[in-house]
Amino acid sequence: MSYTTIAFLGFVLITGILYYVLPKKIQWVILLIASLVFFVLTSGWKTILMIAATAIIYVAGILLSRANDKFEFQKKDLEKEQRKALKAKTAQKKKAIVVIAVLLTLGILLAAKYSNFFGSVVNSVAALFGATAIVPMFKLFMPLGISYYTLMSISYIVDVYRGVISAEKNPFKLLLFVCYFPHIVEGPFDRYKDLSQQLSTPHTFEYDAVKNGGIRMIWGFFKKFVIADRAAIAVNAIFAASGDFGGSAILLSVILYTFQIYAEFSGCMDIVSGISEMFGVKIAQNFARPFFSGSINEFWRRWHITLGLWLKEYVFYPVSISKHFKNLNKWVRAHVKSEHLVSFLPAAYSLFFVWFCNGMWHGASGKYVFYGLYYYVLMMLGQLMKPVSDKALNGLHIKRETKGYHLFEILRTDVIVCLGMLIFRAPTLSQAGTMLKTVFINPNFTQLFNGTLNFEGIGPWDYVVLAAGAAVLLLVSILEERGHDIRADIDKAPIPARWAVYLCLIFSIVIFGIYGGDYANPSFIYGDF
Amino acid sequence: MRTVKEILEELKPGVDFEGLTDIATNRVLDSIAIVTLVSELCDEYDIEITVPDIIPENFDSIEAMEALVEKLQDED
Repeated sequence: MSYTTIAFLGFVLITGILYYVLPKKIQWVILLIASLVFFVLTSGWKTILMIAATAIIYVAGILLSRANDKFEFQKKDLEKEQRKALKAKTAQKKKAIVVIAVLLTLGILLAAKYSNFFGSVVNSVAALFGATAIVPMFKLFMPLGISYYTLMSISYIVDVYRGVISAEKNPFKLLLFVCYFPHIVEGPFDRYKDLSQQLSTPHTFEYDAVKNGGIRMIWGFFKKFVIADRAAIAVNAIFAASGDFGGSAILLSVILYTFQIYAEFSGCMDIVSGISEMFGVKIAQNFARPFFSGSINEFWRRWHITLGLWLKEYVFYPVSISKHFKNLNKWVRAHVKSEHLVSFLPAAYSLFFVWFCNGMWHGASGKYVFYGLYYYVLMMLGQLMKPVSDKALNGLHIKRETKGYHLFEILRTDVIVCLGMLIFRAPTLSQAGTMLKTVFINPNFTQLFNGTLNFEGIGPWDYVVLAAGAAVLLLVSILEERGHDIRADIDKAPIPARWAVYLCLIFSIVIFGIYGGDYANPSFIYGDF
Repeated sequence: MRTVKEILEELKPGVDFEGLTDIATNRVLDSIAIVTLVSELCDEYDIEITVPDIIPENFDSIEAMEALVEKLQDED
C-alpha cells in the first residue's frame, strides 16, 4: 500500500476514527495494529525481518538494563577499588551485549541489501589473482523500510547502552516505535527518546491539530503529484536514452530531477508528518529548505537532516573520540606545523567514515559510494583551500558577509548538488560521465524548443505547470526562510481567503496532478533505500 | 594545568569566548572543533567524556564546560 493511493487515505481515515473513538489508553495499540497491517499489506512475509530486528534490540535492551541493575545492587557493599573493578567488568559485559545486538541487526540489513555488493567486491579481487567467482550472487529482496528501521533500531540499543534512555520493558511498545507507519517508508529517522512518550501518551481529538496535519499532508501531495511525478516523466525519458539528447536537454533533465527528488522526498515528509500530527505525534524534521544553503556542509544539515544526525551521533562521534583518533590527533599536533593542516587532517580522517557510510546507505553499489565520497572530497577540498580562497577574496576586495556573495555561495552549492544528483540518478558512473561531457561539448539548444522534449504524458503545458509548481514551492520556501509559519499565517486570514487557499491547493492537485488511468505513480525514490 | 578558557583560546585563536552562551548551538565551534576540544579536555583533566556528554548544553559556554569537567571528575 503506497502513501499515494486512495486505499492509503482510507486506511488513515479508519485508523484515525478508531484512534479517537476507542478508549484513549489503547490509542498506542491502535497505532501498532495499523502499522502492522500497513507493514504486512506492503511487505508480506518480510515483516518477520522487522519483528526479528525488534526482538533482538528488545532482548539486548533488557539484558543491558539487568546488567545496570545488578551493578547498582552489588556496588553498595563494595570498597572503591572493588567498585571500580565491578564497573569495568559490567562495562565489558554491556559492550559485548550492544556489539552483538548491533551486529545481528546490521546483519539482517547486510544480508538483504548488501550481500551481492560485498560478494562482487570479493569476486573482483579474486579475479585479479586469476580465480573464478568465490561468492555466489543471490536474488536479493528488499523488505520495506529495512534501511530505516535498522538504523532506528541501532540508535535505540546504542542509546540504551549509553544510558541516554532506559530500556523499554513492553516489547509491543518497542515494536510500535520500530514500525510506526508514518516513518517506515522514507523515514525520518526518529529517535526513541523523542517518540516513545508521544506514542504512549493519550491524545485528545483537537480540531486544529487534525486540520493543520491535513493541510501539511495535502501540501505533500501537491509536491508529489503536481511537481515530482510530472518532472519524473521527462527525467525518465531523457535518462533512458541520454545518447539521443544534447547537453541543454540533459542539463534540463538534471535540474528537473533535482526538483523531482526534492519535491518527492520533502513531499513525502510533509505527508507523513501531517498524518502523524493528526494523531498528536510530532515526528522529526527532515528538511529545512536545503537549496538556500551557502555550502555543502550546510546543505547536508538541511537535507535529510535525520540521516545526517544519525551519522553524526553513531559514526562521527564514536570515531572522533576513539583512542586511535585521539592518537592521530596528537601525532598531527606534534608533527605538523601548519595550524590549518592540524585542524584539517583529523577532520578529513573522521569525516571519511561519515561520507562512506552516507554513500553506502543510499545503495549497494560503487556508484553510491562514489556519490558519498563526491561530497566528501569537495567538502575537504573547500576546507583545505580555505586559506587560498580567503586570500583571493581579500585581494579582490570581496566580503563574505555581503548579500551578493551569499547568493553566489547558494548558487555554487546548488550547482554542486545538481551535479551530485546526476551521479545519483544515472544508472552507471560512466553514463553520468558521458552525460556531463555532452553538456559541455554538444549543448544543442534547439532541442529545448523544437518539441524534442515533448514525451508521452508531458507536453509544453506540463512544463508551464511544472514551472508554476516550482515557483509556488520557491515562494513558500522563501517565506519560511524568512521565518514565516505559513500555516499560522493562513490561519490568521479571514475565512473566505483561508478557504480559498485550501481549495486552490486541493483543486490544483485534482486538476494538475499526475495520476489515474493507466498511469502508475512512481514509488518514492527514497523508499527503495 | 590549563583552564578551559585557555584551551578554547588555543583551539580558536582570536575568538573571545568569555560571556558567550551559544558556542555549540551557533557553531562558534563546529563538530570537528568540539571533538578536538573533547580530546584536549580529556587529556588535561584526566576524565572520560562520552558521546552522550557531547550535547550543546555542555558546550555552549565556558561555565557549562567547566561544570561538565567537574561532574566527570567527581564521578571518577
